[in-house]
Amino acid sequence: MKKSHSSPLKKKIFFTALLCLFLFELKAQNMFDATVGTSNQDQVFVNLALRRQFSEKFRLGVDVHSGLVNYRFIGAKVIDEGVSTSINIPLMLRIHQRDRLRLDFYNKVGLRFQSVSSDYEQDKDLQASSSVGVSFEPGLLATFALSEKLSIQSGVTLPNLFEISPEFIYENNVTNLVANVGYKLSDTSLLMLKAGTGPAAGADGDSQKYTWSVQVGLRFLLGKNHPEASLITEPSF
Amino acid sequence: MRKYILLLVAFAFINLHAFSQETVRKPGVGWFITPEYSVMFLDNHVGNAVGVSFGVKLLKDHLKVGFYNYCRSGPINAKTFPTQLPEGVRYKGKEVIDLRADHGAFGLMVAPSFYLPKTNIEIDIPIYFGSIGAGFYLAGDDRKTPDNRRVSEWENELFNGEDAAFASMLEVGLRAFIPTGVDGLCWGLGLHYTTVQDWSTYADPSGDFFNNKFRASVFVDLGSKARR
Repeated sequence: MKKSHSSPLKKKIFFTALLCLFLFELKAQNMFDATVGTSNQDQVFVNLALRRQFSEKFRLGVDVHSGLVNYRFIGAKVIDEGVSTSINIPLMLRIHQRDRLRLDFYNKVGLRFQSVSSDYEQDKDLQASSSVGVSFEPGLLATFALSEKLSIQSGVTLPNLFEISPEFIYENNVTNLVANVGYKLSDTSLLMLKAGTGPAAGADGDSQKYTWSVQVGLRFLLGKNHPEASLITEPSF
Repeated sequence: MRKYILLLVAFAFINLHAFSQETVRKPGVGWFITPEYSVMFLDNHVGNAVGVSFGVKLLKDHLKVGFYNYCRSGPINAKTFPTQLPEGVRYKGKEVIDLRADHGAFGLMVAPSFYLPKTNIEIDIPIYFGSIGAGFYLAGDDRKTPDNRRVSEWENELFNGEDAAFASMLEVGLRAFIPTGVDGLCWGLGLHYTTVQDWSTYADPSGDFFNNKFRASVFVDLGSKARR
């Protein structure tokens, strides 16, 4: 029987990684976001996100977005009922800052699930009653801290959605213009207003041609290490 | 696909330069993001379009290089275009159907810029080199196809595959950037002239729908400013 041995190099790498995680833990600040909104895609949706500000420069998180369908697609055919849920990993990386203006690179990757009832599937002659898709959404976001309490944000993100089941389809490519506001209610909470809109194309013209969404919500700050960065909102498409 | 590749290249470009600005502190390199709304003065109607341009500023803000994308999307333009189907062809019993028009323009932007003397008003001359993807599509209840097939299959059959097309475009404009008092935030107005080469579809065989047209834009400009 082969006996496994950990080399000194592997141990060093392991403990270095552990130390890095510990240092991140010391410096990191957690944020919990909860928003509710409406869009042309969903009658109503909720978005819950846990984000970690590792430094003034870098933020990583996970969000869950779930809504009651208004106008979405399975196999490039319209569905106007059912549920859509996506799980995403968003990140932000500061690439420039001068005075109160800052530019961030934004990216989000995600997995989306949609489902309708089997009766609806048969009635609409859909390929399946559920679908799975993947997405990625790069973007550039400019944020102004107008004061210690108030920030405004604009920019553009480019959501790309691919249905992978029941059929592979490049479902949508959106140019999403962003307008967000963050207002600090207290040391531990932030009010957020978010809007996004823009043209879309995909699925040989069968899917969304234009999208919009508005939402309102709160951010709860868990820690005080990066109070300036915590003012910075994020789009949640 | 071309749009997608251009977008990725543009993102890589601006990120590279913005990063180098922070780490190397190269003087005279800045950035901009400019969301816009515009009206397009088309034949017999005015179209609504939204878009954005973004990129880097060079030569102490005297030259902008970046990517642009604006679209006259169907859902924000209620105007329909009655279209006669080919002889003997009917759709839901109709020989003439009302189509909506959809359009997207994208490509590279180069914009020399300068300040009006003795003012803080910036003027630039954006030149857009790129493509349009545009066409006409079944709208409203006509998107519920009689046999539950995909709408695009019906559009391809009804219009012999000529429901939409790509073409090259060139646009020249003049924009004024008006300061807001917040450093790095401006708003402004622009006037643009667009030409489109060899674009043709079943519903508009002349190809003049977007060719030799003016559009007027209003925008917000966010970006770094060279110290003046």
